[in-house]
Amino acid sequence: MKLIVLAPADDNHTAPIKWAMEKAGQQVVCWAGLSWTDEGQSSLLMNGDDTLILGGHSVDAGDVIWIRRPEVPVHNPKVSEADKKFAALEYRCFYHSIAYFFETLPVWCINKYSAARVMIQKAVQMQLARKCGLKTPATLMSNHPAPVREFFARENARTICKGFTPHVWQKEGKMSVAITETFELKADQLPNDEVLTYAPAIYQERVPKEYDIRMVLMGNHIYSYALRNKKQALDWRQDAGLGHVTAELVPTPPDVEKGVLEFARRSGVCFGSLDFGVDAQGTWWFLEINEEGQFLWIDQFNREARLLEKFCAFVTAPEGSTLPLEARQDLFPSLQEYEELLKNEQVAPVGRPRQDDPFLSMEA
Amino acid sequence: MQLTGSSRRLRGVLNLASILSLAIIKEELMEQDNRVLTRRGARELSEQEVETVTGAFKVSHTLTPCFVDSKQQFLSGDQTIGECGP
Repeated sequence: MKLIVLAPADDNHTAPIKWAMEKAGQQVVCWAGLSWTDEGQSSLLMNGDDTLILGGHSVDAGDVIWIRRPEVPVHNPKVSEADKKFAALEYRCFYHSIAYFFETLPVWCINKYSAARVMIQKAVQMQLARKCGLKTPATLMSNHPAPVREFFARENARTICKGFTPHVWQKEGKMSVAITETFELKADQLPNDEVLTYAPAIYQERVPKEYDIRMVLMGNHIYSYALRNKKQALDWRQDAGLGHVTAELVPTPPDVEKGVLEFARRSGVCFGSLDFGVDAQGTWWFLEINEEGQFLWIDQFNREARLLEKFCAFVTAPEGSTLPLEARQDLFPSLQEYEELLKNEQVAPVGRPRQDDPFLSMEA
Repeated sequence: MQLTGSSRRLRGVLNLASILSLAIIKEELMEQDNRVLTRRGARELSEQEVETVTGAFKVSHTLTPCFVDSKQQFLSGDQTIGECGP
């Protein structure tokens, strides 16, 4: 068995995990995605036996494919201007063929591409979470001013607004940035109707949360961390970066655990990062799941979490294993050890995306 | 590192300048009537705050769920458009 990671080798989660797996004697190969370069080329031969090659690496029975962060397919820039659009589409279609084809092979996908593409949709995840018995806040997704105003007219209700995707705006020539964040909005703060059509948004009942939960799902295993934010901010993400957040392992209520495992079963997702808000009554409100969300940062906030080791134990166990990951986590080194090497420049630094960042805009 | 009295005062002045500068940005933004609502609610991170996050990333490889490197201009977060997006 080998682990095939669809991401650049210097991706900030791929690099430490590859290092830890290799230290434990496991084979790991990275494929950043389909491109015209030697390492980006791929072949799929269907002639009796199926043979799939990714950048010179064959995909074999028993392999584990972690579809972490593949880059967007890149066609050869030398192709004629007249053929660029066609070439780009062909690259994209071939990549889709590869990604879906994994599911027909005797390999384990983390996660299945078909499941990932559906579950990245916030509307789908909210609805499925509700059907699986998880508590969800009333939510409106809209670019239609009348329903937005109607939603804000609910009695005794507070409302938050958030985007579908994160985004950063940077002032030309400056270091300061603005970053999307969940924010509370009142009916009298709504802008004129036209502004509501500039971009759709998610309007949601404000969960009266006391604290947040970041949950990491690894197969049948669930790890929940209470995130307490000294500043009591509505959105803890930026405060985490600024060191204002603590992460403490907490037990998952049985009904929540049951709902999450049912969610995983019905969605086909076996790995992901989930967010909940917990109110004063102790009720856990499902907010979202990011099937390839960041999780190693929790190891930095709580050294006992050992999610790096748990993830390595997860991907080297048989698919669907119920054996506790803790039983095998000691086979792998820790993130702290990796960080020491990084600090001493004994391992390569993590990289940045090679392509234009779709989440960043410049503004005057 | 221990800060001297003058360092503390300087940091205080920098913080104040940073807050004032963000307030001006917010004000300018509200005068533009063609910006999306989500931008109006976005959190302004001062140069100092960006430095803190960027510095933490470089020194201890902080893998926060939403990390901005404004010098290199990228955002690394929970979500990725990649091949799962449009």
